[in-house]
Amino acid sequence: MKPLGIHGGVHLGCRTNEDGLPYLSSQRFSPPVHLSKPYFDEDTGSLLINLSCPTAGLLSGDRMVCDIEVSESASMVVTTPGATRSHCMRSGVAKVDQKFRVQDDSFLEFNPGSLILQKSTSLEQRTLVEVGEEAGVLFVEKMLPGRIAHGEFFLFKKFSNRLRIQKNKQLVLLESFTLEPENDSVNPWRNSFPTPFYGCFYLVSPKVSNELPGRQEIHNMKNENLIVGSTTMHHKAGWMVKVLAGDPYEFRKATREIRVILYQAIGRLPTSFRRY
Amino acid sequence: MTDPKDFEWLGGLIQTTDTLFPSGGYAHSYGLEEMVALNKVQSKEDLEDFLIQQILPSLEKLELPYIRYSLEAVEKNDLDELVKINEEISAWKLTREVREAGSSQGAQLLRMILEIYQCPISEKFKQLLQEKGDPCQQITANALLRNVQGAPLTSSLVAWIYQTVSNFCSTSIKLLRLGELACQKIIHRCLDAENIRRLLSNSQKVNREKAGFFNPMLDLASARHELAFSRLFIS
Repeated sequence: MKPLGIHGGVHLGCRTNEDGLPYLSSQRFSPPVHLSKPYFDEDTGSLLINLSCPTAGLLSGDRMVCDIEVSESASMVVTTPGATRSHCMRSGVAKVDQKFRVQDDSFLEFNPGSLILQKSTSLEQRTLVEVGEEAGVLFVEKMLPGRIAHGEFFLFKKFSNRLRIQKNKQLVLLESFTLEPENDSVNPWRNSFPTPFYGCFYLVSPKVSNELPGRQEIHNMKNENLIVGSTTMHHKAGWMVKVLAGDPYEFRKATREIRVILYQAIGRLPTSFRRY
Repeated sequence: MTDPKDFEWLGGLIQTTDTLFPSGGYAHSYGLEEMVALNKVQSKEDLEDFLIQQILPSLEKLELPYIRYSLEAVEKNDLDELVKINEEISAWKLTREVREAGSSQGAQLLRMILEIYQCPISEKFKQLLQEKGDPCQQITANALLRNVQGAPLTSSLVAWIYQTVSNFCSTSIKLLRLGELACQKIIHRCLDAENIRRLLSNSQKVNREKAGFFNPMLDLASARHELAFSRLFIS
């Protein structure tokens, strides 16, 4: 049977008005994405957008596009109210195509909840992040190998992920992999902890081209159930901070603290995600 | 008897794969030193597991395909494409130490090619990289070397597998106090005919859009090595 699927997504443009405040200059969305009412955080100067998923996750045949552009010195934070689930698929595949363009001295944080690769799911995700010379981006990926609380891990079928980050049209990071628990592609992740939670922060900003303030603090977070490390991107475009944790509490705590440290490093205040 | 001309490339391949050839690899552990510090690799059994479970799959899905793409670009004399491939390699070497290990060994290898061989294409490639301000990665320099030697693709790939495995083993002599015999046994098992056949055959199927390998633990080890209090190796 040919899988049914929804083809939709979200297109957002964020600019500043005559008072210098960020607003949505363009917006278009369709299932499987729904958009919250934008919230302007006066304390941080950022526009907060919550993307939710009315279908409760990605299903076979779904095609989702996420296209976001921030310009004119605007600042925007995009998140989701909870985890993104890639559901069981008897056949077929779900595809996610993400493009982020941040120009001038604008700033974008894209920090969705964890991606949960549920049993028998098959997902392809491609992401392109284009950052201008003076712009800043904090792009965050978090990934779980299944519904760990239900004792389900590494039962997904396939996950292909390709992330390209370009600064000033110059390629500074390319991370590409295909995970299939049936073969050896998941061995390093699977063997890291009995229930491994994975996250990665990609911070591109001219403010941290030479050093990352708070870097030692990040490395000092390591404990028996948590490994954290940071390194520079090619052409000193920014920093990558990876996290592996053995339990959800350490993972949440570490990702929260790293976010605060990275914001401090670029001289900004983190916007509350307002998840109540 | 086979025409000796069929093996003219072999002498050069052996010379440039030998540990006497100054590639600079001896100074790098590519994250293994911190893997040992994190107690992830503690014994000869762990080392063999690490090589078979993590390093050989990453060769299959990432490095061997990129050697093939580089060789194809060199054979077509498509240096613009080779520059793009070189740029991609620098971008997928996610940690600074591994990226710089690749570029310092690439620069050294390119220098050696230009000293030993008559290779106008390597000269031109060096010039193109200098204009762009990009460092030469070891994989692209290796493709230029194998091309000028006339080494067949399969032999070039097997040599790369050997160099990678042998480098980790040589590092582990210092890090794990392994004996030379233990290392040779591990190298022998990694280069087992079935392993090699599988690696070569599977790596042929990897297209550039899909090339890549996920090893967050090794990335973390390499990233943490940058701030390690004490260390023996550059990476």
